Amino acid sequence: MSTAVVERRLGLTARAWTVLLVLAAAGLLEIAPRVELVDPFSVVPLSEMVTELVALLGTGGFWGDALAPSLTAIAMAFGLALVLGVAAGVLLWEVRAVRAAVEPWLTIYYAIPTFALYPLVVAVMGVGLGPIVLLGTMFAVVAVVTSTLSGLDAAPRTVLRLADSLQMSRWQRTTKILVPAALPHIVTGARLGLSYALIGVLASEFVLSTSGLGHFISRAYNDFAFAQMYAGVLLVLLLATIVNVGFAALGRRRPEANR
Amino acid sequence: MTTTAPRTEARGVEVRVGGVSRSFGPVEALAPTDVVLAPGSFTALVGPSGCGKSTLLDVIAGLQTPTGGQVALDGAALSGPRRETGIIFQEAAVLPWRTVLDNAAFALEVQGVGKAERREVARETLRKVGLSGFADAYPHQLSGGMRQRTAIARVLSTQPDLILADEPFGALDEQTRTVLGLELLRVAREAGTTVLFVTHSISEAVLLSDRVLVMSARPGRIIDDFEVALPAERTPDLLGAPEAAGLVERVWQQIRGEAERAMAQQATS
Repeated sequence: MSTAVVERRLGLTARAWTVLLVLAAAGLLEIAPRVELVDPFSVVPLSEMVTELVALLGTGGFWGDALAPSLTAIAMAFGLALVLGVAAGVLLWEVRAVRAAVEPWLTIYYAIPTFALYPLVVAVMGVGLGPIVLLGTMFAVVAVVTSTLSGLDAAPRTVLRLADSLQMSRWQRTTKILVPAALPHIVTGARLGLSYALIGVLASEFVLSTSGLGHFISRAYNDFAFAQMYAGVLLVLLLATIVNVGFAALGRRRPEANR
Repeated sequence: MTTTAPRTEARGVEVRVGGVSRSFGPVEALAPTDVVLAPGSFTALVGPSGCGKSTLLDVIAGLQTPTGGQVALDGAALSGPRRETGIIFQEAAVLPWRTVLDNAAFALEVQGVGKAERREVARETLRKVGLSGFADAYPHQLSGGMRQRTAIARVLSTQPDLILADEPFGALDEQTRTVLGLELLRVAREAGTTVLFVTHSISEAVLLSDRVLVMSARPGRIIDDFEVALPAERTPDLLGAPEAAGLVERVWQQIRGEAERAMAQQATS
């Protein structure tokens, strides 16, 4: 990225504007309840959310009952979605007849409310970590599959012919040619997939869990403990931001990705 | 590992193409073709675009199965791709996520040669193609010519007895193209490798080869076969010599009619 020319709008750089927007939103969230622009009972000032969050993070119970179960489920759902998604993507790409049959469904997948299936999942699997991870994986996996497919479609033909000419085994071809060739797209898909896993797990916890961050937010809401509820929501936002910034940094770190 | 141990006495293979034809559905790409390439010879294949040159090359590479006839290498019938055949593609077949060194070592890696050994061989072949100083660079940091050199270094690493090149320098500028062509000729001669070289450029064909084969418009067949009677030591200024200029003119005469037929075919199809 070039630093020689930095574009400015109204005297500020794009980055400064980004920060300014966040600060403005934060300021509004602090002031609006205090001047009763919004109902101070349902919306608490930002400073109170932060204070509550800091207090919660200081309690062992919150880590054990809310944060740890959610993070475990998110990590498992994301890991499964990544491995299964890349494997399914490569398989579909190799077997064109199956891809032709399946692709229309992949395209409309995110138009279908996967969560409508949660009663079915509960009926079959009961409650606990399993169904939560399953719903998170189901939500995340298709983003990885479609990105793997588009990455493989974009792979240069010459590189594939090279694989043929070197008589590579199917496994070598997959690990040394196909997956690395599709990797830039897979990273993008994984980033989406991680967000979907996070949404999937938290939403599932709202309805079918007795622990986790989603359950914590839902219970606080039902108890009218709005400061706690907002502290939970704030933590979700922070988690999502950290995860995304981390992925963006990972994308920038690979020099070979600049082709 | 006996298959990958360096052969001390590398030598080119004899290629015998017997009645080889290839059709794609109703389209006959290659008419029954017979040709023999002597061990260690450097042969250019020229012809109008879409005439089946690449198809013939793919068949000899084992990447396509002929519809009829067969290819024999040193008398043994060809049944598919083989490790001893090196292919240089039109677009440099380099892996963008690997360094130049690991690209040059890739074919040996696929064959299961250990890291230290394959890197040693790769350093040696990179030196042969003049890329010693770029071992740690990534392909996107190189020029097109240097990327193609990287691919050639990978091809040389397995000590092929046959090199098939499909318009390998077509995307490069004139000077780079001549330099790389002469380099390929030099390393192939040193190793005694048989080379079949497809090109659009008649002067490139004449400058590099012992022999120039001319193919007809589709369905492709070999319609002429010229010996190139130029000194063994090839330099770019040889093209100014009367023998070379005369040969370029004769090949061109042969090809022109075919090129016109090919264009007429494309216009009607």
